[in-house]
Amino acid sequence: MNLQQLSPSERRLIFVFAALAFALLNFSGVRFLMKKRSQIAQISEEVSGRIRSLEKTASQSALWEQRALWLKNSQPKLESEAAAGNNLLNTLKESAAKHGLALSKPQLATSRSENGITAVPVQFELKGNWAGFCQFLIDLQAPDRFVVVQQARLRVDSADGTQMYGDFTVAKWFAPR
Amino acid sequence: MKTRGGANTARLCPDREHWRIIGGGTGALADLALQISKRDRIEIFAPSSAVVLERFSLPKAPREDLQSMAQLQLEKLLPYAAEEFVFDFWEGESGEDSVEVVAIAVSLPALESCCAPFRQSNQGPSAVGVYACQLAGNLEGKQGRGLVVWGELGRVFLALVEGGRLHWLEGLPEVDAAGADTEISRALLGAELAGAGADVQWAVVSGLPGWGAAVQGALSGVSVQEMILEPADRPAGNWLPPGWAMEEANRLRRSALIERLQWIGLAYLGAVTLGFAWLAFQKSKLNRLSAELAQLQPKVELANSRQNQWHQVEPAVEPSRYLVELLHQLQKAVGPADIRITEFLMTPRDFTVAGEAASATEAIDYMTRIEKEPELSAFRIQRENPKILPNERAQFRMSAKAESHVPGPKR
Repeated sequence: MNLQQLSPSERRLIFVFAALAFALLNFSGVRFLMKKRSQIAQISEEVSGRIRSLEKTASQSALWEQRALWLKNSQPKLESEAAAGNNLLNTLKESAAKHGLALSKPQLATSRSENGITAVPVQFELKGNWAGFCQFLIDLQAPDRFVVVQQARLRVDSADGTQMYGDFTVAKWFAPR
Repeated sequence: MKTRGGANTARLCPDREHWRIIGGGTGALADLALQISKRDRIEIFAPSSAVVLERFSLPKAPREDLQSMAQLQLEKLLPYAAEEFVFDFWEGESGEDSVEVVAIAVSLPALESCCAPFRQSNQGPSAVGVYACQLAGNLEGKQGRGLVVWGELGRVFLALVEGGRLHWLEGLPEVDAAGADTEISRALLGAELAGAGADVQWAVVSGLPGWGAAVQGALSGVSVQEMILEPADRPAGNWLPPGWAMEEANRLRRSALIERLQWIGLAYLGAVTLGFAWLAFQKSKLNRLSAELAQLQPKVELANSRQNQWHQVEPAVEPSRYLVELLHQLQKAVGPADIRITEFLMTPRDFTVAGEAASATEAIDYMTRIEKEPELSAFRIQRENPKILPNERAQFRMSAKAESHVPGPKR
């Protein structure tokens, strides 16, 4: 089709139509670009935030690695549940005696494993003065002993405020076998 | 030759047998038209066969008036209608009231026939010259009047030239060089009779081997030079028909508009390309970030697993979670207040503490101090409202739950 064969009004109509189509095309193109831009900016922001958070975690990886190594080297491994329970009970009895406390009803409880840790618990009751209790508890737990108080119930004697009673379930946490 | 916008100028002139592009090939005009780029400007030098030279005297007047008078004069002298020729002129010797005018007219039908291949493809021409005038233009440096003999489209033409201007032009009938001297003498006699003055002082024979002797024979005592004479570059006059000039102006305007539109289109295309390039750049940036994230992931996963491992054994290895440490914190918060802790219950995940205070206010203050204690920040503390006992002391109870992780084996 030759444009010169068309009448001026037809040519004007074609020009207007082409201009509209061009404007529409541009509008769609710009809209598409803007939409993509905002999508990319949003995803970039999310990813950057996640990277920052991960970098923070990764920056502490040396500390956690060091702690994992310490755990591996320090946490005791369970050889025999009965022996471990008895040993723990004996240690507790010695400590109670040392600090003038009366340890009664000692008993081995059922051991259980969870999250890769085997807990060997013992139950006992303790009676004595506040100072002796404190000393006993100081001796009870330390980072290299892996002793956890699974349950403790401490009561002050209602008749004699200097005396205390305690029901304990204490466990030693062993490394996975 | 390059012109504005990077277009060349193609100059076409008649050759001995065909047409040629100056500095290019030879051939029929239709073939040469195919060798010329659509963007090129075309200047064509009309063949001498289409040219009529007239000489007449006109009253002295400005050039515009002379032009009109010459037009009327030519309409009388030439066998063409007014719209069938185009002419240009130059002014020769002038007397007191008159001036000698040499008008060079070109037949429009002949010119149209020459330019048809270009006009059909809407290529101009942009300028029209006369080949004989172009040859004369290149002999401007020669002193006095001279005779130029050259071959053009299979014919031989003679011209009298002085000061680079054409004074007389005639084509010889088909003769060979041997018998040409008589024809040349006859033609020069005709020139003299036409008032062109045939006192020839020099002669040039261009591209006609063997014609030097014939010319020498006709012009005794005149030095004859045989050479290849090229036409002058610039058209020595304007023989572009006015209608064509308008068409050419329109064509130039249209091509300028097209060129402008092309630039705009190019800029638009550049902007679109830039937009998509920017998008691609952003996308590649995002890909780089994703790659960085993927690279970081295993390291972080390992650190997280180590961290979890530690948190699992925290009640065993973290002194702030030890029973004695918790009791110490609870006791430290008592301070000088009259508060007695009566009961303490603990598991690895939580603890509960109960006690008595001298008043409800003291109990609340104590529990607030416990809540604010930084060493107990790992616990989420919940407190109950104190109860007033019969002895008017306040009994309080609060419980705390470790916030972070579920440690080791449950009870």
